[in-house]
Amino acid sequence: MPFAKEFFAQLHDNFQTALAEGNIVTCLLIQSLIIETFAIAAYNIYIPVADDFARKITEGVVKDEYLHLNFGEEWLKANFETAKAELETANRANLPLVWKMLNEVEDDAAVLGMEKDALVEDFMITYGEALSNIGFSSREVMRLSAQGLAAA
Amino acid sequence: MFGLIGHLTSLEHAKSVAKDLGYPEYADQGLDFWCSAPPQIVDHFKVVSATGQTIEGKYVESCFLPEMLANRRIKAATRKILNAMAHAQKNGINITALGGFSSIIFENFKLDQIKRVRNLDLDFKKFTTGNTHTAYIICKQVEAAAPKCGIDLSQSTVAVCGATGDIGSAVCRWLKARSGVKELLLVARNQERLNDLRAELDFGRVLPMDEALPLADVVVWVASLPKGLNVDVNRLKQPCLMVDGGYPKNIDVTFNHPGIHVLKGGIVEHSLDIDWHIMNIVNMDVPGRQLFACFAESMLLEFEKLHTNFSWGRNQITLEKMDLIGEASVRHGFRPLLT
Repeated sequence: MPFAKEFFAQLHDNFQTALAEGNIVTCLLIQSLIIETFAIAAYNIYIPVADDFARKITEGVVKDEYLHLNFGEEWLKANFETAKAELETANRANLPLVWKMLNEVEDDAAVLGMEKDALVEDFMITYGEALSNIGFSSREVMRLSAQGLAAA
Repeated sequence: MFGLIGHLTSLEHAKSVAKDLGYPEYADQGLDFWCSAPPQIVDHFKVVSATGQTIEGKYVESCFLPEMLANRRIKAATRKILNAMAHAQKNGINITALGGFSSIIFENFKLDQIKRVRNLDLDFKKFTTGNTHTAYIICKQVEAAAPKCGIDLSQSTVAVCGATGDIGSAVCRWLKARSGVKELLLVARNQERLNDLRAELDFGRVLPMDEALPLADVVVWVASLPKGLNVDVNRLKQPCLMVDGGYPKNIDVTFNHPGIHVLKGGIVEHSLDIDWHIMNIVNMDVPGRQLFACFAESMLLEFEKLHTNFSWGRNQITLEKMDLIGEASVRHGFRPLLT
């Protein structure tokens, strides 16, 4: 628990700030896009290396996570024109935190047989699909989903 | 809708393409970055047949790089191919060609055992290796180009490097049965497969590469070479026709050497322009017209509405299948590259 609190602290703080300022789009990006995608990527990379019992549970959980991701996508898609600029700003501020978080757990994940490049890749695929569903073009998706990766 | 899955030829190539296309985030990155990169649809275009039919296609960049094999980043390499296939299928593409190394990786690492990619089950009927059309075109290139180099196939020795591969074995079958070559030299790494091939063909000799090359009037290169090869031109016959069927095209032979003719193998030229951008990136001389035969196979299957894995696995290419795809190839306006 203390680890989890610490691990998510920066994303959590950014969420709280956005909430206090009424920036719903930023809240949705952090909670519905980033955190759901992070969970999906972690579960997808965990499933092949999990024991049978854990795998069954995780497969069920990840199905739910895709639904949660979809809730956020649908609202942002319906409000794309007005949300676009704030999404880009929020992405710039928060995506680099994800790369930082993946770096932090790289060694522990490796012990489980989960490779960092696979985690990053899975994240970028799912996040990219979400951005594309919402209304960003392929070119925009490539730019947005690689934000801050170079410095990671 | 048809699809093409491809990749760039090296890390350096990838960096320069990323820079030219305006993606600085990708342009300065090392191999690790590409090992994490997701597949992208980077081109959407139409192709018109000589019959007048029009079809639409998409190009999926897999982000695979040959250095992934050379550096033993095997898991990353296999993920690139599977992700690209899942991406194509998710985007509603009916038939997609696995170009370059993608089919080799699929076959070598037995990816047919991994149907599930994330939340999708791959339907293999939506993919083709494109090897039947590639083998057909390479054979047509040999048949047409050899006489132009002063080589009479009925009196000549043809070495096939990579003879036991899917394309190589098909080329051997055709050269024996249809081109009537005098002698066939079978060159490959795996002795057991070579023996099986020799038994199946009931023709040809198994030889190591360095013994085969000095005996050959024609050399067909269809081996998977991530790094490339130096060929000592002084040991070759003159004239000698080399058909480089690989990607990247990395048989390092001096082009100016008298009597040695190098042909870009497995490339076709269409009789009409194609409005795409991707062939500029892979150094085709005439990007609006020239393309890899494996990609053309995907187009042919779409034109013919043959939505099935026409070329699949290894050693399944028959002369009849080569005839079928060859007839469609000519009818729709494709010709083997002879320049």
